[in-house]
Amino acid sequence: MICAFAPRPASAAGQAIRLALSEENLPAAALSPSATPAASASPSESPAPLAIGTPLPSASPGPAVSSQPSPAATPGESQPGAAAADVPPPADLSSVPVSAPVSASSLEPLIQKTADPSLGASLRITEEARQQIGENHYDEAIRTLGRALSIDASNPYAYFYLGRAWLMKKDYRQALTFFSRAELGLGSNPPWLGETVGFEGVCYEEMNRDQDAAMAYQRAVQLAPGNLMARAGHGRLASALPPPPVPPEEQPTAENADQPPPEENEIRTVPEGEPLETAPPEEPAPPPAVPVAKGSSSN
Amino acid sequence: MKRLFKIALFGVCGVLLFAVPPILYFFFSYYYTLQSEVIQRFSGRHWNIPSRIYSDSTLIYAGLDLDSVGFFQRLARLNYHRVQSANPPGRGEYSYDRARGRLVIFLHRFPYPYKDFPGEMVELRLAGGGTVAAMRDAGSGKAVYSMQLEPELLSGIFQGSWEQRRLVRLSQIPPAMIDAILAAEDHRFYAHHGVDPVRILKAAYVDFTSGHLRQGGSTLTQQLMKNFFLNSERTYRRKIKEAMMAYIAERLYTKDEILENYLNDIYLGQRGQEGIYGVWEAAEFYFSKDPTDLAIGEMATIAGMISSPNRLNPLRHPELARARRNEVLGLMLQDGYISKAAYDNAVTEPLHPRETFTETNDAPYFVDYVKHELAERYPPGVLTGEGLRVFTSLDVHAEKLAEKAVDENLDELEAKYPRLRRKEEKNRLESALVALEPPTGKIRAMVGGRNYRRSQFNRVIQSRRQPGSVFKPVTYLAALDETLAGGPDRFLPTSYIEDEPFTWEYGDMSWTPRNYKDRYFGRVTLAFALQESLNSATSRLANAVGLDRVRAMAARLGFGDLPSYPSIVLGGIEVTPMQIAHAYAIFANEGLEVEPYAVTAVVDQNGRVIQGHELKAAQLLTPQLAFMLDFMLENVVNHGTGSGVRRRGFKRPAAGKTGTTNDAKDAWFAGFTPNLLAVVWTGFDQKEVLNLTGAEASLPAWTIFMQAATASRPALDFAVPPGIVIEQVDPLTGYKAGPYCPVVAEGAFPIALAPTEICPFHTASSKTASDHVAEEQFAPGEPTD
Repeated sequence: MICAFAPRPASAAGQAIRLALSEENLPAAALSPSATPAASASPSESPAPLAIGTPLPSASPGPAVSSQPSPAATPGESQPGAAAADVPPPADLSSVPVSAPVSASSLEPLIQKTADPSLGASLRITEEARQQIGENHYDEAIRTLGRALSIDASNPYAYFYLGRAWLMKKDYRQALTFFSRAELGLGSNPPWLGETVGFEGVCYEEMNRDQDAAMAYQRAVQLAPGNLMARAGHGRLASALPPPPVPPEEQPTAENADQPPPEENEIRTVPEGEPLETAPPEEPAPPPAVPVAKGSSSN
Repeated sequence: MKRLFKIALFGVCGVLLFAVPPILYFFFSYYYTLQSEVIQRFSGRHWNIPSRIYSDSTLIYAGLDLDSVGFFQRLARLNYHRVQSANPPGRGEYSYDRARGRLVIFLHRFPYPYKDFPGEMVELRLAGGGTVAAMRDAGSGKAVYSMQLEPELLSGIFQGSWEQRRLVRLSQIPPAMIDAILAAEDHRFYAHHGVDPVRILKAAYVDFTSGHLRQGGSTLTQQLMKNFFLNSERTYRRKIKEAMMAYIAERLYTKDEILENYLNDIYLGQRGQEGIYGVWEAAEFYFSKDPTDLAIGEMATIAGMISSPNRLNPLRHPELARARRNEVLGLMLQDGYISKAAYDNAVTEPLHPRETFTETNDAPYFVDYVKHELAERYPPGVLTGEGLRVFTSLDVHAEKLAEKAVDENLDELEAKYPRLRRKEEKNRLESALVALEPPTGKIRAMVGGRNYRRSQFNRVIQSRRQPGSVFKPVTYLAALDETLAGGPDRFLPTSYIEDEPFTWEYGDMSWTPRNYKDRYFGRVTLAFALQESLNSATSRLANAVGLDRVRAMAARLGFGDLPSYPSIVLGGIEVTPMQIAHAYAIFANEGLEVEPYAVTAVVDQNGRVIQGHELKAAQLLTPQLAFMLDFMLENVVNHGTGSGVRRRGFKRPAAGKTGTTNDAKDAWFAGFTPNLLAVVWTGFDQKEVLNLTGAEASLPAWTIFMQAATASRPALDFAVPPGIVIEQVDPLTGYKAGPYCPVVAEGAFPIALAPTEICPFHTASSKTASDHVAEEQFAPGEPTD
């Protein structure tokens, strides 16, 4: 079997929005009033049929992606939404232009940039899957993405589209698992990371976990302020966000005072946030915290 | 005289009166018995179609080194044939100009589970060394980016003999093919009623003049009846029965129905165990074509084979096959089926001898595993009779590499350690290897033992042995998990643990683990304890973490509910190599569990997918936890008990763990790169003492296999997840390494817990003799596991 695929002729914002938002099982509320200008944009012309043997064009213009600086990715958490609580709420977004979802346009620019042939081949197969998702062939896309991962396990876009396919199949737990996995590889790519986290928000929302969804949307907006879906979700679920954390200096200190001193026989323990070792004494002390396990016969 | 005549007449009439009715009765009873047999056969399922088990397909793409995937060996196994012309004329052929770096391959047509591939010609431009530089569709000239070589046939599932056939309707067979068969076998087919007296007389004359039965006068209908109901014995009794049945069949069914059955039924040769039946299967096997694509000469060749399929096999005996073909072409010309011009053209068509691969059961242990899995879902009759096509995850190239690695390693061990040799086959040293792709769960290779013919016991899934130290990572995971979860105890790779003799009291019992060769290191870091596989230190750690936490982690990794004995922390349980592979795949896959699987799809005779596989995953460990462990396991390979991997030349980023049981009966090595994992076990089935470590007995096979099997894969490193930082530390003090620290090691830490202060103990003036001692102590030594 040979594989060559033609990218969709349009990678314009209209089509991108259609792919990202008009899919039937996304929350209906995703198209909030703030989203309407872009969301109501008519889809571009219907995609060209796939043709075996058709080469990809040399360059495929990507969508306009917001170039707003994004805050650094929060430390990895298995539940990305949880980390979002640490991120300050986004600033006024009215001046930030809405950008098309990056995942709705061709991966061809990425493929062109890739020097590694395995990753290139894996991305091409991922692009094939992206098109299959666009044509509502979710099972086929999942199989295709398995092939992409078989070639290059480091391809985060394959995980992202696995999340998309499972989302469309309404298996939100699976979708979340793959979106979380995609996050690991997209850490240095805020637009993609923002979109991934935005879709995590969609999953949480579908699972009626509004607080997690709100935090995910908030984080997504932080990462990709132009992301329409995240902005709409953030606006919709802002009230579900937990109250901001109290600064440490305002916290009562009694709790800390109540903490018992570490036991002598305990393996070295360090309170969170503190350095591993206390500052070295002037005279170097013996190496710290010699652990002895319970029941040990050692001396 | 007249009276005598009357008596005779009465006698004859009496005989007729009393004898004929019973004769007629018996004749018609027999006739109707035969008729019901014929009806039953024609109206029921005519043939049992065996199921076929296929390997995974192979993706070829620009940038791939063809040698690294065993490309040309694959072509040979798939019965692709090299031709001299620049562009191969037919499917299943390829041309290769090594000097110009040009390979043109005309791919077979193949019905994949979800779509049919018609077979196309692809041109590959090769850079030096066989790397694909570019590919294009040779027909249209357009660039293509990948090409899939069809799956390889591994085995069939059948009862009795393996009769492989593809059922076709008469309308699917080209008329010229039918003409050729009629000309060769029964040119009066449409004129007779099942039995051809002219043909019988001719055959009888030949038999009479030669003195014994030489020539058959059977029509196609008779041949079909013989194949359906009778044996091949050449007796008049069988011939009479055959003729009666043929007559009955012709009375009940149309010529076309009989012909369609015949074309699907005839035996046309052998490929290994697999019998080739029916014209479609024959066209595919001998010419890599559908019958519709055959040239006249090729059709005549197949038609000519019917009388003696193996003697007239065009691949093995092209001269004999050519002579018979020309004979058939002559008959076709004589009967007016072809013109003189077509005849002249066809007799000049060349017939080349070709190598054919007759080996089919390439991965016997894997095939058994698949059959076992299928048997849980499908009744035996369905598997052996309904022609299912089973697609699997196996990579035949990887399987061959695995078999070679196991063989080489065992031979080497027996040569090096004569005490391991056994006279009796059944007592010989054994080994098992399983290879998985962690991101997808695909089982890529499975070697269940040394010799399948001798022992079908699949040690990968059936042999439960003690894992020894390959189980140790479970304890370290439990400890690190406690830290990352913010539990009261904090365990980091640089945390200290005593490596001294130690007794674990539990209930009214006690357990005293001992290090390998009773060598103890004193105070060590967790990373060092795992790197050197220290039993005492690991047991202390498990004690500190809590046995229940270790058991809970083991359960999370799929080991089930383990007994509450301390010895489990050093692998005092029994597991299969597959269980170890499953658990290690979670480590390799950044904490994501993807169930290992073998069957990717099952397709019925109509091309309908009746069983598929979906890529699903579960995050069993956080990526941070998995990475911290992976980093420690990388140290095992780079500096510790698994450093033989590096000494043997495997350079890619890899993590792994050796395992040796206390009683020295089992030797393991489990290791992985981010995209491929392999587990090797070595030992005796009778649980005799092996007295070799995992590093000595199993690591070499792992390395041999992984070096070759990962050659086609990108050299990925383990990706550092967010929230984790890699720091250089002084393993003697646990501080961040300073310029004067005698030993520096790297460790993976949660950002918040990473050491930030430079080691205060080692300064420009502090280097002492004791440091040198420490330096030696922490230097990688010989494997201690």
